[in-house]
Amino acid sequence: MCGIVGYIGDRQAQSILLNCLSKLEYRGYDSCGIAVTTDGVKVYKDAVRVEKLSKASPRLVGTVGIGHTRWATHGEPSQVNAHPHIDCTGKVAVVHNGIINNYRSLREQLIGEGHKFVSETDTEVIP
Amino acid sequence: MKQAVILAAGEGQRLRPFTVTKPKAMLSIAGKPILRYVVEALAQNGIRQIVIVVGYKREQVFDYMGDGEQFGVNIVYITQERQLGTAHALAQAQDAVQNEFLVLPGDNLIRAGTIARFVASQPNAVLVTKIANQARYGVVITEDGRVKDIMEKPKEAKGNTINTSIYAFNRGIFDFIGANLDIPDVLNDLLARGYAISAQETDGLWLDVVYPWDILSLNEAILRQIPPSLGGSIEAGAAVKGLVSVGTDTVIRSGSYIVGPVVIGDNCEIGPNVSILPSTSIGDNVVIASLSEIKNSVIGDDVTIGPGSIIQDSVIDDGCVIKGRFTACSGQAEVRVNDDYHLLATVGAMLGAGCHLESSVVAQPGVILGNYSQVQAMKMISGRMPDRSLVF
Repeated sequence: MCGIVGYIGDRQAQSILLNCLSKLEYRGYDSCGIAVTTDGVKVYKDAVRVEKLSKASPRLVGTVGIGHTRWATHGEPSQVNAHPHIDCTGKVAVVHNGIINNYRSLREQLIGEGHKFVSETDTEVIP
Repeated sequence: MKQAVILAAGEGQRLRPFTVTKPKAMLSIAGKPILRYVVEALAQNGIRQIVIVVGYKREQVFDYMGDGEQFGVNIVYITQERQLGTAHALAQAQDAVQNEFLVLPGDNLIRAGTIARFVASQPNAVLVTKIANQARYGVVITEDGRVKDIMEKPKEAKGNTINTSIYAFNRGIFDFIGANLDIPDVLNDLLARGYAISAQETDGLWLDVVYPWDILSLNEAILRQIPPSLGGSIEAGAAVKGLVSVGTDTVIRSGSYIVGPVVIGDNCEIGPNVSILPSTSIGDNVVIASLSEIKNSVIGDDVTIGPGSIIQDSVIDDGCVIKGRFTACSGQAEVRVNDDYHLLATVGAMLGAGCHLESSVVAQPGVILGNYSQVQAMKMISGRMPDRSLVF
């Protein structure tokens, strides 16, 4: 399992997301990450605990965002495998809790259509 | 006294835009909500059983104060669904109080010394203080340490001893609340029926905030007493003078000039080449970009201020994102609150939470910009603008 959170509102998303992730950390703590959008999506993630991510993350300005704390199932804990995952154009960011059983066939199909994958996760087929 | 009831249900309507997002007791002064100063003053005087009557925006109080453990106290919450008055608020707590208890407002800033002697008072008692401008408050006429009369906001000056709204009561008070909505009316009822109320005077700190610009004078008064501390890092070439408190993981970059008294929160990035002048409070996660000057201002959490900005005698609420060259110089202004006009000698800008200002915005002295407003580049803002204003 993993912890996922999203925020849309009037306030700056980053500190809200990080605060929520620290409360969700019991659901998974081998890596974590957030994505915030203003002009385009900006992602910051790493294979560290939420507290470390909070201190290391740059200022991401925006009032819309998503966050994730990971309990790795497919793909080892690493920065590349951490969520949020983005598509190969960098326009969509996804956080995911659960597993995608048919991800291998979906991945092959998407690669055949020209999409590029960077991680070993099942999640990456979604964006 | 072992127990206190804090009345923190009020909105503070005249403090808008700041009280649209939080109750008056949660306004932040030098990095802490007013309510926290009250709770800490009680704890330091040995009162740890605390009942807080909440109402308007009560989630803000729950989130910050929790069960009180963090502050060394035990908090029980009572909700006043509709804010009808201070006596009505107190009545809600009837089942939660012991035999004797203090009653305090959650929105007047006090220190431990203010109530140090009063905590030993016998009910019924009221704490009074002398103040310069008494027209806004209830004046108390005393004789030989007893209250003779309490007059709310009298038209003619009748002495400058005022009611701090801090009382010592016992359970008997609930029999006298009756249809009265405000505590001073209850006290006048008691006096009319011949009961005695003692008056004790304090010269300790007691501060009230009624209008948005009052935040600046409270901020300045509290900052005079902050202990200096350094939780972050100060780069070579940055100068820090006087009483300055820097939060954890905050970076003060080279060329910056910080003159206390100043409080800076956690995880901030200040500079390079930023001047922060007295008496300024800055919240957490704030970025102030190079070549900016911040003087005698209160900046909330999660605020981003772009390069080349000048901010004087201003209050900027949480989450504002301000691009470069924002100018809020201080000056004389006539500010409207409800139907009254107030002439202020030196005031800058009051910005509500979550405002987005593009570059080169100029704020006229005394401007009040509502929450979540947006201002386009090179616009001048003035007067009073409602929440969610769009300035094109």
